[in-house]
Amino acid sequence: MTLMWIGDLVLLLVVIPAVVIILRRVITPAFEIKAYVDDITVHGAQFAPHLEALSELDTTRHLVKQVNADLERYVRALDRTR
Amino acid sequence: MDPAHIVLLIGVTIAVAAIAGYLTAIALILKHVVNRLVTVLAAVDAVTETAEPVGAVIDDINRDLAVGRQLIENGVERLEESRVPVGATAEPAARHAPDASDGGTATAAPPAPAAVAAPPPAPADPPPAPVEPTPAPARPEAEPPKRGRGWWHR
Repeated sequence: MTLMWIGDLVLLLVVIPAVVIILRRVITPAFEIKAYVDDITVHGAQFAPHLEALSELDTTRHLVKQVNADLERYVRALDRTR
Repeated sequence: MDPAHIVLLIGVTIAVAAIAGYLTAIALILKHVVNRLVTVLAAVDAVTETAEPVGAVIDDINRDLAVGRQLIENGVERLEESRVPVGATAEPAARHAPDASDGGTATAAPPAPAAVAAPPPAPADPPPAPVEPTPAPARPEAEPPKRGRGWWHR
């Protein structure tokens, strides 16, 4: 019976605190990971609106082509005036 | 039932409950993390699809800009070779000078550009030396001006 009580005391005073400590050491990084993932999600969601201007690059390309054509005409006209 | 057994059961129950609670919390956190990572992955995929053709488009724009720059440079070079800069000759002023025989007024004729455009001072000219105020020399033989006539009549 004495051994039973000693075992109870060990369970209550050693095993359970050890389990709690170990599990806390596991759950603390898990909470940190959760915070980081939330942060990544918040800032990652802002990523797409910043890249909306990339669709305008097509327009820029067309405009540059038009400018080149007009520039060529201008230089040709300038050559004719000489 | 022995009290020791009851305490043992209570202890084991507490330990199991603690382990179960922590594991449940960890499982919930991991589920949340997985959901967020799926969202982030979808966003990254969308960004990748959006930014995929950008390199080719920018290369095309750069090529067009280089061609345009070359066009301008060639045109300017040809222009510089064939023309004297405007204003370097007197032709425009002579061409626009009014002629009296055509009914124009000769009085309105502008002066020749050579007369108008005075040659700029040579850059090598030294700047004029600062004039220091010197007292006028006394002239003992000069009479003092009489009052009433005005010195400006002399």
